[in-house]
Formats: sequence, structure tokens, C-alpha cells
Amino acid sequence: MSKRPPELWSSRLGAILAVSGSAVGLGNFIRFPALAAEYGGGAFMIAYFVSLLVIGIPLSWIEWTVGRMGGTAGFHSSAGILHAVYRRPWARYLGGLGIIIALLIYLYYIHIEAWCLGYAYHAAIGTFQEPGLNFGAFFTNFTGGSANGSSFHFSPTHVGLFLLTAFVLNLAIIHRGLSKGIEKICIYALPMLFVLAVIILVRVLTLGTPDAAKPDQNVLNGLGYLWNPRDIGAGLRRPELWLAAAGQIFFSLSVGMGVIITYASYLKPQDDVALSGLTAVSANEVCEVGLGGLISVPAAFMFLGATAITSSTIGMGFIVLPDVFARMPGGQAFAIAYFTLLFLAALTSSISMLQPALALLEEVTDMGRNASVAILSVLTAGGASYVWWFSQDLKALDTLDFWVGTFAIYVQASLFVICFGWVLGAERGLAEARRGARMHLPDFLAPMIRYVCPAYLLLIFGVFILNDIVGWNFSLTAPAFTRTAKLDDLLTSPVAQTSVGIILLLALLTTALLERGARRWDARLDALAKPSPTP
Amino acid sequence: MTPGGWINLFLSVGFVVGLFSWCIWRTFKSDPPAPAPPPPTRPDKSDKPQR
Repeated sequence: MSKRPPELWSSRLGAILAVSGSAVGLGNFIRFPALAAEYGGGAFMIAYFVSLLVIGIPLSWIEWTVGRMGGTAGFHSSAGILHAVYRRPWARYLGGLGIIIALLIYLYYIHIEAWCLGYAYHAAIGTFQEPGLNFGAFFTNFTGGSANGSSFHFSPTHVGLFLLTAFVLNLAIIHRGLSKGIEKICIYALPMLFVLAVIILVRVLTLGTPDAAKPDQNVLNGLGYLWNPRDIGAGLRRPELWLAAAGQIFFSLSVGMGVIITYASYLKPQDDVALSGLTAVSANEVCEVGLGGLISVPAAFMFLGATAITSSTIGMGFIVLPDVFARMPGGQAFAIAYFTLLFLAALTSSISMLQPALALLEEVTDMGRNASVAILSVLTAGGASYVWWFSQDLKALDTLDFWVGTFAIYVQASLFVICFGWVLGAERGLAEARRGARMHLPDFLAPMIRYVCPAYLLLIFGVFILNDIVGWNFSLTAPAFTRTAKLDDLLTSPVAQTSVGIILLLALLTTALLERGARRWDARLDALAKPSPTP
Repeated sequence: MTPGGWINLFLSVGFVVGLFSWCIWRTFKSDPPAPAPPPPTRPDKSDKPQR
């Protein structure tokens, strides 16, 4: 183990802001409103809040609690934490899965972060104000969507320069450490992000009817397009709606990635996890429902109409919204603000994805921070360059997002809840969560964590498999199965197959590190278990 | 925007803003005060060695 003094958050607010920063991302401002509009405001919001209460908040509390338990024993990587908490041979692999997930998501998330930075730059130099600009073509050229390697340049018209900037910035922040790097950035970035979002929100809500020739495209109809309930009963009977709502809660809160566990391990043993966890969740929800839900879809509706609104995060964020800002009075300033906001949201998320791997490297080797960051930078540079080169149709990015950012997170979170409820014991876990708690945690949480959360998660995971992999049409009377695009890619696309190969390669590498770590962790746990000699 | 839309909007946004406000209020309210320095102790005569 490292002989450096243990790192801790310098304040409770810093820990809350860091976890909130990890959770608040592009999904809050783009994906959530687009999904709500697609599935009909009323039914989607019911499914969304049910998912928040049944899996979002309990899962968040579980991760905060387990993280603090591991941190109290001196462990900070999710693999070490689960090894210490569960004392089972398989526990370190479950924790290791969280580290792999976070690191692999980083490999493509850093690209999206670079897009935000690049778009903020282009908004500032007035690219989006150029008359006749084709926003779809600009995006394809910028990201290299037309051919592999076509964006492998360092000119401002391609992503390379911004990717390098974002990459160096992330490494510089985590190199500075927990309180001087991550915490300090989040303390400034989160309030700034919030202020920028409020400014854009005020602008959108005061637009009235931007085009007098199209009186129907006004602010009230824009809000109504997202929030009008439509047919709630029919909506709630659609399995895809529940999948979309639960998935949004799940990915938005950064649960099932090993990030919250790692961050919570830097709390002091008596620090509160109950109120802190709920505060981080609610901060994420304010950004998502209170700000995200009122900005992008109403703005897109007012300027481009309902047909332009897409549930694709990338399409909405990088093709539709730049077009909207180009048509908006004073749109250049608001485009700068919007893409800066997205960049800050992405930055505070991406640094959190590096910390679990960094904690593992520091924990299982005798290397210091410099060497660990250097190894991590080589590893992530290789992975991110792979995604950068294989940019045609964003195939590498899309494959990693599906199999890691969706499938693996479901697996990890489901196993995690089951372990907490059944291996550690929901009652014991709840008692642990109540230690130092600054709010009351009700008794019904124990049976909820033991029965309701795993059942709900497994049900949603089942729907995901049936919908996205098996391709069932959810009809019992006339069932039909179609080969889904993801399965098709896996069977036919060399890039998709190589991407899955990279996932397996990283899994092997992590397994080797975990084996090395297990011996050290056991020795440390034995030392902790020994009674200290009395004088 | 239909009346249902307004209800949906206010319930959803109101819930998350209310929850966040409550959490922030509790977070700042429940911060324990900094531990006060120990009061100066008077020398206890009974502890003095007897001459």
C-alpha cells in the first residue's frame, strides 16, 4: 500500500459537489428532455419518478455506504473496497468490473467532451452564424463520421486539437489529487454550470413567438410538446417507456460505475452518507428536470418545429441545437454559454471516471501518483486514439457505449444491489448507512433494498435484453423477433468486434492487477484484524 | 400547453427543486459547530502534592 498520508475530501460540501459533478452530464441537458418528449411527458415522468424512488436513491445510498465502509478500512479502489466489505474471493472481480466500466466509458466520453469544447470554440468564432451552414455535415466532418481516420488532424475544424486539450486537462486535474484537483474543479464548475443554465433558461422562456409567420411555434407550445401528458395509460403499458425512464435515472446518477463508491471512500468514518447522497441525487435532478427539461426541447420546437426533435443525444446536442442558436436573437453568446456548460458538465464527469482506475493502480503497486497517472495516460491515450481513428459512423464509440455504458452497467448495478441486500445484509447495511447520518433513514428501506430494488432492476434488465438484443416486439399474441442493430454489428462489423476485444483485453489486464492486489489486501485486512499490542 | 401539462411541469419541477432546497437547507443547518476550545482549567489544589 502507498505510504503517503491518506487523501480525504477537505469538506463535506466538496464531496457532495464532486459526486454531483460526476452525475451531471450531457444526459441531463439533452437526453432527458428528448426522451420525455418522445414518450409523452406524463407517462414518462411517472415512470421516471418511480425509477428514481425505487432504484435511483437507494442505489446511491448503497454506493455511498459501501464506499465509506471500504474507506474506513483504508481501501479506495472499488475492487479493494468490495474485497474488504464482503470478504469473498469474487467480490474483488465485482469491484474490478466497476473500474473497467468507468475507464472504458472514459475512452469515448472524452471525445464527446472534446466535441463540447470544440463547439464552444466554434460558437465563439462565429462558425455557426455562417449563412447556409449544414450543421449535419459540419458535425460529420468535425468528428470524422464519414471515414475512419478522417478527423485524425489537429486543425480546429476537426476534433483532434480539442481532444488533446480535454485529455491533458483531465490528467492534470487528477494528478493534482482529490481535494486540490477534483474537489476544487467541482466547487467552481458546478455553480458556474448552474448559473449558465439559468441564464439560457431565462432566454428560452422569454422568446415568446420567435417567428411571427409560425405562430404555433411559441414558447408555451414548446413546453407543451414536452410536458403535456397525452395518453398516460397507454404510455405506462409500453415496456420501452419504462426501460427509457429507468435507464435515464440509472445513467444520469452515475450508479453502477464504481465512481460513487470510490469518491465515498475518501469520507471520514463518521461523515454522513444519507443526506450527502440525497443531496447529490437532488442536485442532479434539479439540473435534469428543472433546467434540462425546460431548455433544449422547447427551444428546438420554437425554431425548428416538432419534426427536428430527436431522442438521439448526439443529434440533438450537436446538430439540432447549434442550428437553434444560430436562429436565436443573440444566439452566438447563448451558444458559447451552452457548449461551455456542456463541457463543464462533461469534464466533472470524466475526471470521476479516471479516479477508480487511479485508486487501483496506487493501491496494488508501490508506484506514486506520478507513475500511476503516467500509466493511466498511456492506457487511455491508446484507447481514446482507437475511438478517434475508427470514427466512421461513430462505430467504435457506439459499440463501447452499448456494451459498456449500457449492458455492463445494468449487470454491475444488479449484482451490486443483490450483494448489498443478501450478502452484507440489508439490515446491517442500513445500520451502517445510519452511522453519522444527518437525516432519518426509514426502516422500510431494508426490505426495499432486499426485494424491491433487485426485482425492479432485473425486470428492467430483462426488458433491455428483450428489446435491444433479442429484438422482441413485446407482443404475446403475435410475437416477432428481429435481429437488432447491435447484435448485427457484433456479428458483422470488424470495428464492433475489435471494440469488444478491447473490452476483454482491459478485463484481463484488470484481473492480473486484482490478483496482485488480493495478496496485499488480505495482508492489510489481517493486520487490521490483529489486536494491537497493549503496553 | 394544456392544464395537464402545467400540472405535470409544476409537480415535476416543484418536487426536484423542493427536494434539493430541503437537502441544501439540512446540509448547512446540520453542520456541527466547530469544537470550542477547552476552558482554562483552574489549578486544583487537591491535586497539589501535600507538603
